[in-house]
Amino acid sequence: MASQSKVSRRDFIAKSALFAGLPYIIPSGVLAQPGRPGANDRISIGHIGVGGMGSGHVHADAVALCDVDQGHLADVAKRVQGKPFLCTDYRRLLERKDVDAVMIATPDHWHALQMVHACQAGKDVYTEKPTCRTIEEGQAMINAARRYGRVVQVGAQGRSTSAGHAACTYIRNGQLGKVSRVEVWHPESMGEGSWGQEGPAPASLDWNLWLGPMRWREYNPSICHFNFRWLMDSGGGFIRDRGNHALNIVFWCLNLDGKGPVSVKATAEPYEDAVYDAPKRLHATWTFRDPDLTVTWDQPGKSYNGIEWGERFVGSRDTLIVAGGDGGCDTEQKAKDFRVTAGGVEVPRSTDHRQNWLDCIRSRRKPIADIEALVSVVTLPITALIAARLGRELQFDPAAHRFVGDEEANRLLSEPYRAPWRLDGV
Amino acid sequence: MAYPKAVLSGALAAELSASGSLVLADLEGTVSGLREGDSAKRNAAIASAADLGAAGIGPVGDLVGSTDPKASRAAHAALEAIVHKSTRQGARSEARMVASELAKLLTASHPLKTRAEAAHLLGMVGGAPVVPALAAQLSDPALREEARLALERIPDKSAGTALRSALKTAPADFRPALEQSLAHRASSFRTIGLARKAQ
Repeated sequence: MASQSKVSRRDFIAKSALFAGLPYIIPSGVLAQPGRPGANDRISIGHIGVGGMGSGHVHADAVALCDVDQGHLADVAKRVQGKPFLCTDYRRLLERKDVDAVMIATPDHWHALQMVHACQAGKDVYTEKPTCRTIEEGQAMINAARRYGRVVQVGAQGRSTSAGHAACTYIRNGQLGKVSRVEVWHPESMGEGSWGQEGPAPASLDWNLWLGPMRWREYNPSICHFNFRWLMDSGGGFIRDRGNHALNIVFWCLNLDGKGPVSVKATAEPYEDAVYDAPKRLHATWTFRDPDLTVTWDQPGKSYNGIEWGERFVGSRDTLIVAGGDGGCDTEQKAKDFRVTAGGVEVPRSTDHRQNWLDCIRSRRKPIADIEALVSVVTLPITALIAARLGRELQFDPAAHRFVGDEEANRLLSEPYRAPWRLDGV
Repeated sequence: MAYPKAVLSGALAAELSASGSLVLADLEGTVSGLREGDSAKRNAAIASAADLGAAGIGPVGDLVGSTDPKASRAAHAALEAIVHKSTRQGARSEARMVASELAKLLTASHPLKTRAEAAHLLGMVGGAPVVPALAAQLSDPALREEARLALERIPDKSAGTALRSALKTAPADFRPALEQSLAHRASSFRTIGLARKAQ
């Protein structure tokens, strides 16, 4: 008995695993304080949504995979070592004690619910952009992260690129002078000509779970999988997709995290011949106070230097263009060549978005694209889509997160959930 | 251009005429355009639909239930355009008329798709006057979920009363959904921005 007591719990579990012929992998949930991996512990990751972007997130050491499409599960499971836990209902994945953290890459209408439930289950979270569909969801996500003490990174990968960092450092060090306008441009949304046909979903797809909190609609192959982006209920068009990347760069470079617009106006044009109801073309203008700033989204808009989509910062002394805004963003050479002098502004640097999240899980610090920052960002697409829908300029109170003097607009700040889905405890 | 008499009730026609704020559009032409196979004509009809006001709700709403997906989609867009335009500042009476016409589409004589869309839009534009019509649908298994979602969204307290009242008679499998709506209405989300209690 005396000798046994000298064997640490960590050693015992590790040796037991070896004797059992299992890989020398110890989920941190077994070793460290619950929900708080130690500095050297491996972080066991479960994946919710493994098609499309989610497929790319899965590494060989994933411990659990979830997708409502059995085809996605089967494809991705082949790339994982050992036998990952497989399920179609994410709640089964969240119940597992061998999952420390989750990566969420489902359609937009699932992000908030799955992120909040993951926080409540004690998991740290990486959730894809857009952060959420509604202002209410965004507030619930912030509350969940803080209340349950979770590290939440949003897939706004532009904050982990060297070009994004260079642009941010250049602008925050005053090289453009006072920035009063940012122009974002992007091509039209995709999918023109798609109609599909409503009917039963394939046997491999759990359509009811795909819909989740979204109001019921019949399955149509033209909206599932990738093209969910062009529906208002599940996507919202490019402004809530790449628009989040572009606007994320704007917020980061101008230090706007936690702030919001005071007014928004937008006009939208629908698809000419398709089943989709999100705008095909959209023009939006947001006005900020403190700092005084105008941000525009033009889809389509004037392109600079032949760049497909990007941002143009207009300052009192100079301008700067950032191409894209996601993990492949780029910027002008003058920003890349800039070096911070003594007393200048140093911007926190991340060179790998996923690694930054993992590092923060260990350190319990806020990641580079923390949930609160990205909820600020997504406020812009959300408010623009509401303004376009209503066809009028709206005044917005960024502190109260509500429109001013427009009850109908405020009704659109939340979206009732189809039963049994609900945001509780936040 | 005047509305065809066939589609306007006497009371509605009188109200429209008296309001003077509505642009009288070619209702028949617009509805016909929404049925067009040609996308350009269909889109032109959608673009003009917002000006139809309350008079367009019935005929456009029924087209939402069309088995032709293009006509249904176009009618859906047109209906939304009418509803959202009616919520502009200074057009309260128009919004009330639009909501009233939407409520008429809830009845079982209309296609289910039409009824569901009408309920959805009532959640965005409806007030106390349409609560009884929505509440009546809470006992219809085909429409109760859409009606519940709409009532959850309507700020007037009569909507909450209707949900609570339905709890007394609802079948067991629907009660949790009603409770969910009541909980959401009561939650601090109703005052978004003041809800950051965790911080």
